[in-house]
Amino acid sequence: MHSSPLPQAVRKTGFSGPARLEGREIECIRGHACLFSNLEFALESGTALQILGANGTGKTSLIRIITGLTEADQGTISWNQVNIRDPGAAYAGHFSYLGHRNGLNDALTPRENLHYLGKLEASEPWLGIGDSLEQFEIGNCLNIPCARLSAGQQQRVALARVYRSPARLWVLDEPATALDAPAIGILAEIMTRHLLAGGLIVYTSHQAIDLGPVTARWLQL
Amino acid sequence: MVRTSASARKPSPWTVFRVSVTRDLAVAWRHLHEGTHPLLFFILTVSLFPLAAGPDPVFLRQLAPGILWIAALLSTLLVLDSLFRTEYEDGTLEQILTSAHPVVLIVLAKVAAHWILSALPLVAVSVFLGMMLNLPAHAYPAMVLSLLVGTPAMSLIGAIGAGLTVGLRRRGLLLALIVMPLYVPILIFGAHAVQSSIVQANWVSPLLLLGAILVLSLTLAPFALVAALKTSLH
Repeated sequence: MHSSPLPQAVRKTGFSGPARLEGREIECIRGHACLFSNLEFALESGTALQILGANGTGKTSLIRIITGLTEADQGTISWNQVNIRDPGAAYAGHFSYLGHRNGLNDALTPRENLHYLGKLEASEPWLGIGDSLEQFEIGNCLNIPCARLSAGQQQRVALARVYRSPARLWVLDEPATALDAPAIGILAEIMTRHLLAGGLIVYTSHQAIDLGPVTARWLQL
Repeated sequence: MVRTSASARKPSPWTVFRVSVTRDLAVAWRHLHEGTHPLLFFILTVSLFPLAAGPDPVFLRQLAPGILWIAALLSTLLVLDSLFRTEYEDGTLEQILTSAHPVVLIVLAKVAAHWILSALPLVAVSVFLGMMLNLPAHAYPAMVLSLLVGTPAMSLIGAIGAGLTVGLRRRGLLLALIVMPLYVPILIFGAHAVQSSIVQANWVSPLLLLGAILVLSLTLAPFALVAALKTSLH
């Protein structure tokens, strides 16, 4: 990897108005075991929430509950005071989710994958595909099928997808998986930029991600 | 950074549908050898009948509608499992279900692409297989039309089964067992249309009934499919 300074692709305008993600009395049961109950959390624009816990304590379950992919056994998640399960909530357009499975098709190139996934967003992504890959220093991988990329490169592509998303809330499950130290640095930088622009981030990570001046909260499971 | 100014544009539902279909076609193009499997299966299955039932042209002509329709049904069934398999495994399905656009539309696009790839070639090839089975010339319109109307209904109904079973590790024949009974009405009216056409009876009525099944599955199946996928990803 070359060590040229990062091109500064920063949002021209931040997000406007306040935003709030809130969880109330969340309970999650897997099989016969109660992973967590009466869980409360809240975060506003410009703040990050890191979900902490050992393996098997339900970090991924909570992440999936926040995305609405899984329904909590008890309790509600609300976005701007509206329950995300309300039919009129239109919550899906407000967050970008990166799970353990990165959402990239092996046969397609990063350009094709990001083009398709960009169309699933509420509006056109604010940053071009090439520019977003440049951010993660994989601009040269634009037209190589994802199957031929390493796990770390694929994770960078998946993060580029999140970065160019117009969504205000990022929900990241282990975003630093397979990344090398420089890439974790880039990840920390773009997360910080997103928060400074008024975004929100919920994430889990076993690696330390230094968010610099931004307020980060913890939720211990 | 030219694209930055475009941040307020919302892709139209049609754009999302179109991009989704072209993406699936592009994926299939990269795996072209796999894409030919249902077609080869269809041809082989149909070819087996004259070998087993004997080459008597009159007998084959009587069997032809049934053979073609059962072979089409089986090949549809065979590829159904792959409809959401890769998307489930690589996480694309999670992205689809958390999309800001109507999920019904996106999964409908997936089924449409799947039909274009797996069933449309069968319809084309059925013309040649019809010759092999001694199908009279006046029966070809009925055969092609009934397959054109019946196979999308099979793809739509089958997709619900595929959605329900995509999360299971040991699926085996479960998908076929769920879906096959639901194919019975399509098989009855489809084969009946071709049969009627051979004896120069009214074949439009069964075709219209087939069309009614297609309309019904086109309007209801996508919603059931989304519910099935959500359950699988739960």
